[in-house]
Amino acid sequence: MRQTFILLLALLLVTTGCKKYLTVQPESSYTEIQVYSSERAVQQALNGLYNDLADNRLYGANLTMTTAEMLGQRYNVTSSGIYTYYQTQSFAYTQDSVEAVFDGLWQKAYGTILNANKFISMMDGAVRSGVLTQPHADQMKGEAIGIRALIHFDLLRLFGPTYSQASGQTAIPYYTKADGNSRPLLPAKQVMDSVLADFSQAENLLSNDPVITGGIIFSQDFYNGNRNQRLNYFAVKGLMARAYLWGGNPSAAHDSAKSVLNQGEKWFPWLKDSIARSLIDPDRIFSPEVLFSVYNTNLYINHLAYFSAALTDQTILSAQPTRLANTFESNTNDYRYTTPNSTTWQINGKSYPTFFKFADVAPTKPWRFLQPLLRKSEMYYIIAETDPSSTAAIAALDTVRYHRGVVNLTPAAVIATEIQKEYQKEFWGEGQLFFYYKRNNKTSIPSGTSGTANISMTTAKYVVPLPLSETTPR
Amino acid sequence: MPPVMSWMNRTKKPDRLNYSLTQNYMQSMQFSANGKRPHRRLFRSQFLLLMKLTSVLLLATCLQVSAKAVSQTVSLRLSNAPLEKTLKDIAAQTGYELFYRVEQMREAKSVSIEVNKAELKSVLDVIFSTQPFTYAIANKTIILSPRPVLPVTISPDSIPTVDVKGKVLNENGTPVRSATITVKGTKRAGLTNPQGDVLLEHIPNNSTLLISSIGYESQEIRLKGNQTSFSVNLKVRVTELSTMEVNNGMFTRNRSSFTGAATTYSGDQLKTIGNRNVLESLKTLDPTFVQITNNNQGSNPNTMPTFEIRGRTSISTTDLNDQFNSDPNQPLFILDGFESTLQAIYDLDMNRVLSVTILKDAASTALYGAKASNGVVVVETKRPLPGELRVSYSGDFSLDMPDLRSYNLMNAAEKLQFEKLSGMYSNQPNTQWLSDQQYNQRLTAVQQGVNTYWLSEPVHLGVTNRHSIQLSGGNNAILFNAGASYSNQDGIMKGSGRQNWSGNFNTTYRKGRVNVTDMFSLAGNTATASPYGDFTLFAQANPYFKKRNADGTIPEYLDNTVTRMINPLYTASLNSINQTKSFSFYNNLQAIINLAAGLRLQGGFQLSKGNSTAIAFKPPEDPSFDNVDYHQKGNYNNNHSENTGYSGNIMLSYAKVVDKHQFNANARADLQQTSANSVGFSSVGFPYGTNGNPSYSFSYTPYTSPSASSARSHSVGFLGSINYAYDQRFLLDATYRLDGASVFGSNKQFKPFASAGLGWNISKEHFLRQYHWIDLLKIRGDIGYTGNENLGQFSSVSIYSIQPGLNNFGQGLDLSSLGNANLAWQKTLQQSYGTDFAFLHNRISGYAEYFIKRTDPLAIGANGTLPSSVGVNGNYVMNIGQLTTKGWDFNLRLSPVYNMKKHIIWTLGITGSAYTSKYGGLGNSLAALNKAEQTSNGLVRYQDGYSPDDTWAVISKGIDPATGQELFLQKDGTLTFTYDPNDIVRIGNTRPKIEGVINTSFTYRNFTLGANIRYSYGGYIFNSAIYNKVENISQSDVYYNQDKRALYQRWQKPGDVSQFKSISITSYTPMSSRFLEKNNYFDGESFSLGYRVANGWIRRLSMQSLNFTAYLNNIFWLETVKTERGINYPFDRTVSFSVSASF
Repeated sequence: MRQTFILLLALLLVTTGCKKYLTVQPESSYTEIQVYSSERAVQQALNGLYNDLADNRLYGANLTMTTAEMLGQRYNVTSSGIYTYYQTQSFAYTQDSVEAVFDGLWQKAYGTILNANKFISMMDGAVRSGVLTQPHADQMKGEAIGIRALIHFDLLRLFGPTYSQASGQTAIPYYTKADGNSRPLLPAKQVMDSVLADFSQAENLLSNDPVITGGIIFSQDFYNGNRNQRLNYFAVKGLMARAYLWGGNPSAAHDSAKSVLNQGEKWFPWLKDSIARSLIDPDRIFSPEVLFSVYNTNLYINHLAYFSAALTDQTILSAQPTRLANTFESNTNDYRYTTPNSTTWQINGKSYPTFFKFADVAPTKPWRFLQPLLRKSEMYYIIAETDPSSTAAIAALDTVRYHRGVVNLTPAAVIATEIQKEYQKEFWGEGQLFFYYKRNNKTSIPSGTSGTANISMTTAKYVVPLPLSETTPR
Repeated sequence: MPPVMSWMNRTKKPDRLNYSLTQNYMQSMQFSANGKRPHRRLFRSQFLLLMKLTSVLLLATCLQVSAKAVSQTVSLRLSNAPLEKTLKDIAAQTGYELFYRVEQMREAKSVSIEVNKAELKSVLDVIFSTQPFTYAIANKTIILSPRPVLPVTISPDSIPTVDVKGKVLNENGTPVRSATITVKGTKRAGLTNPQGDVLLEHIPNNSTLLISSIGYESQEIRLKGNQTSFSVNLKVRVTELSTMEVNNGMFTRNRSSFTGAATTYSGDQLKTIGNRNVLESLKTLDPTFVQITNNNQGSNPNTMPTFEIRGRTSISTTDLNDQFNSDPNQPLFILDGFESTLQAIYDLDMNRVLSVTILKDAASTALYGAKASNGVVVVETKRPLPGELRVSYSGDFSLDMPDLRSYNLMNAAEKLQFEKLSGMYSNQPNTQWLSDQQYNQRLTAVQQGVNTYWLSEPVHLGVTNRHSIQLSGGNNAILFNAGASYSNQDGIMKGSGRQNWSGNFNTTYRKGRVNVTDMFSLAGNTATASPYGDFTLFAQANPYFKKRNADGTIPEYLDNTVTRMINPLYTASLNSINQTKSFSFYNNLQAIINLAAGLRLQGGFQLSKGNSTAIAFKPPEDPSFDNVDYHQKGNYNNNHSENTGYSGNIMLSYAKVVDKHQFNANARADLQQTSANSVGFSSVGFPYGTNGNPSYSFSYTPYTSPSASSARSHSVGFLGSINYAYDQRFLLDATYRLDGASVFGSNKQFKPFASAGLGWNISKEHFLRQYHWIDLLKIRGDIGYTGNENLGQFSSVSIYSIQPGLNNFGQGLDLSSLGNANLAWQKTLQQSYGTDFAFLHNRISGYAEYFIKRTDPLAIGANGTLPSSVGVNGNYVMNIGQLTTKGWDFNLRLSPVYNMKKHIIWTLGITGSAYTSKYGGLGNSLAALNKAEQTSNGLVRYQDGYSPDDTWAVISKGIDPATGQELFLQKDGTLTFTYDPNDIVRIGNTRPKIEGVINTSFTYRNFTLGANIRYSYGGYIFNSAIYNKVENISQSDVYYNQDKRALYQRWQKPGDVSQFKSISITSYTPMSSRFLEKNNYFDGESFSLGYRVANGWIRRLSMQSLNFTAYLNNIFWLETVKTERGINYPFDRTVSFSVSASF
């Protein structure tokens, strides 16, 4: 009897110890419980979202310097060039290799959205459990919601319809929960509403963003430092302006752009022309003007892979020389073009100018590895496009032109044409041109392989079909 | 000796439920009984008589009756005449009738007698004086009867006597029936009834009783004074397999009262099939243990085979295999009571194996709960035996011959002709001269007689030898055995091989109620891959190229034209390294305490550790580095992994028998921890001629960081099992297990599993007792839930991992897998129904089983099952659909000749199994996987109502003789030349309709001949030889050597009736039913000839026994399909030889 009793007692002890025994923390990874119980880990989780954005499948390459620019007919990719480049440039979306590129982009984008949604859903709990203070949680949640909106918005721009023509057309799903359930494909209009709602929420949560009072501080402090490398308050406002414009709400776009400049321009000064024109380590991305950028450790590897003069003519991504000259109206004073003193386009190793915007700079430079995603010049362009007064519009354009070393416009200038020219000049390697064409539903755009010819554009070229990995299981 | 033999035959077989045991094993038992323990002969003879008495009385209907004539005197003149004939003569002369059992005559001695008109009784007295039985005369009938146990006439006055009641139980407290209790010093003996009870009347006071039973250690009990009762627990005799019991790795169960499906094979029995490893032999013996043929890796000794028991429970696609850590359909392996791995069993020295038990259904596997869905293989190694120091040696030698007969490649002339016909030398006008030059060069070579047979280059005769030595001995209190083995297997591809060594030391300590066993084992192995690389390279090489230059050197390229084919011999001649070395040890400590009658406490603890280092070195001279910068020529990879683990268990067993009620219960708790770590790096930039030492490298591989992983898992389990039998007729089993594991995730740490089974021993029913030809008839059925833990460590909690790279805010975390809070663990509902039977004194015996396994829900990775916008990756596992597998298996044995007297036994057997599986509830959820299969020309589809083994393609109606184009059958029944993936339908199933082994064994005295031939009928196979080497030979593939049929059997001109498209077509041919063929085959899996001696001349060499066996394994393969077998590594045919001796 006594033995049985001892045995039972031992069994009881074993049972109670079980729960603890069965909880094993993985060593090379963290469970969500571990992550959201330490402020440092929460910071790392948010930082992970930025690293995701800098992935080559998203803003590290596809949505900036490669695929998006190929669609915008930036490069002189001919049929003897790399097959995938050529097919992309030709809008051959159903070709396997092109399909694979967009599928990779799509999956990484939604993977990052899932990651962001998980992060967002954990913030309130982290405050409740005392891991985070409310202001810190708000700031981080605001950034994450902003990231969610940014990605959805860019997917809408890419995979959605030409908004001005067919805002009711089914576009993409919008995810705000990380629960492993699929969401329906929504009409573009509804996606737009969700994007704007998310941006507004981000704006509110970031209303105490240190950038508003302190600007860009070159510090590694997680909350105050390097705000231009985070989705800060002004970046959110700026993206909202971009989104309103896309969504056919020019006045709201105008107001947003205006408020970015009014409140924030002091923190994002124009680049001194001496730095832009410096021969050694020039700031080719005009970094002080950048409202939002991601830190891309692959930036210079990508430069070598896509733009280096060491690549063969078949594999390099470079502009057709005549087209390049025509784009810049042969104005060699433009800091963005090749001049004896500029270094963005150089004839160095090839007989034609090659693209140097993302060439490496000295490690001490604070803009090293920065991939610009939103710059304040775009705010001026938005104002120019939306301001009812043509004088104000020309003034806005002239402000940018002045800081690029270009003379003022004449009062007779056609504003829309000038804005298009600016998009063509300003956003090399930043992926915005294709979206400009698509937003304005341009039926004819300059060809990348010819100095003067145009190519015609159709809805089928503007709208990238959803990848099969998305549509087949639906 | 013959009496003992026949006793074995007669008394053991009716109780034996394991029909798969071969006669060889039976024999070995007899010899060891005879040879090693002569002192047992006495009681066995007595036992024999007792048993005879019962059996004879029971078999009244078998008596033969004959009547004739009238004389009472007999005249006989016989020399060495059979007894039966003698008696029939007597009956004829006297008119007496004869009553005897036919089988009795088998033990009868021959008779030599010469009498003239002698009186009947005296004649019979003479005749029967030498017979193992006696006679009686009643009513003019001579009745043959066993010799009665003579009650010793003891004067009641001289010695005080007493009536003693006894009870005989086994270690688990289950009653042992038919145990013999002999009163020492007398000829008195008794047998226990099915409840294990015995009553010995009027035996002397202070007697010593010897209790013995088959499969148990004999035990002596000294009765004190007028002690009137005793109880004894017999220990299972560990040297010999107890066929009466099922060892499920946790405890033993009495087979006769067990309702589950389990079969046990002894180590000796496995050794009659082959001497390579336990698993190879097991697949021949058991129809449910199926090896999935790996046509790519053939007989590569370093590729672990894939096994399944009773079909599949999980979706297994390459896609899913990557994310799950192992084959989700692999059975669980248990070695000496603790969880083990496929590799450990694969490398285990066969000579150490005592038994292997396969647990197939819920009733037998539910004990393992979450890990049991795929069945369990329980391996027990030999334990120490008492007695004098005994040394035994086993040597195994094999010659493996590459089996290249399935290759049907072109010779030099044929190849060149094929190249010409397929248009390889018709070129653009401006380069035609180049092609002409190339053609003429090759033509010259062919005309000069160059016809290189490349296939023989990388292969050779593989020589394998294994030496294993075992030492055993000890007294009653302390026993030990120790062993060591070394084996070296040369693969049939040059340079490949596997070396194993192992050592073990086991000790048992027995004192009173305590029994402690410690088993310590060390093992190591070195697996080396062939420097010759893939066999395909040699199959591709063109026969019109010479292997070597005129000066004997090996050129790097076979030709120096544009194509630049690499000489596979050159690569092989470099000093590349591809080797994995591993080492492991474990220590098992087990203790058993008998607390009280029928109550026992036992516990076990295992500590294990292992490590393995894989090194791969590709030298800088390798052609793949030809255009690579010097900084990156050569490549070295090193990966080191370590695993440690412990597991422990404690179990309380209780057994009780009240009248006809037999009750057994076990309660057990166990816990287990495993952890695995690995770290690896790679480096590049080697100078020419280095030996692969990484210190010579220039740097780590650029842009890589060291790889590292670590994983730890904990699990606990609580188990309760009961077994109840009423009167040996009605049986009930029930098991409940509660499994807790860290892999289940924190919000649902425990999962319950249960099973219940019922059985009915019909042959024990009274109404069947009259049918004496029925030895055994039992029906059983069970149902239960089990789980599958092979699916890996996904959980309901989200997991973050650290991202490579960093930014101005440091590193980032990535959501590597989203937790699925609603994930249900994959559970399998298993039903199994079976019958065991034995008729005509076990001349016919076997079992048949039917089962249904329903896994619901399946756990499937989200890849392709959800729209990709959900954002989850393959680590996110969801529940979708079900998989139902139904099947049956049987094992039938027949012994047309069973003459123990002359030692001639001939047995025929057939085993078979068949399964069908079906998906359900998938809906359209796996459409993306189906789409992917379609684009990659895959044959698999995931569709409700269809099997995972179904193959899908468009139905081909063959080649149109007029046009040479392929005709396809559309879904609407019309024919078309256009291939349309929408016409894809199910063609067949890769699983055979039935598969099994036909076996026969013939024993004559000390010789045993065995043959096992696998048959497989009705399965479909994708004939890759036709698909890739007869058709689908693209412009670039034309360059490689191809199947002869590509030259001779392809369509060439209108009117040709051919199975294959035009020879000039180098474009792509889509998959169609033309490439799927019925795969019926016979495989000569095992032929063996054994010779065994246990006495006689070997005694003079102070040997106890000597055993020789010669084998032929996989010696032939007859198939209906002509396909290439062994793509990257050929299959082998094996001739081997084993010798074992004990001193």
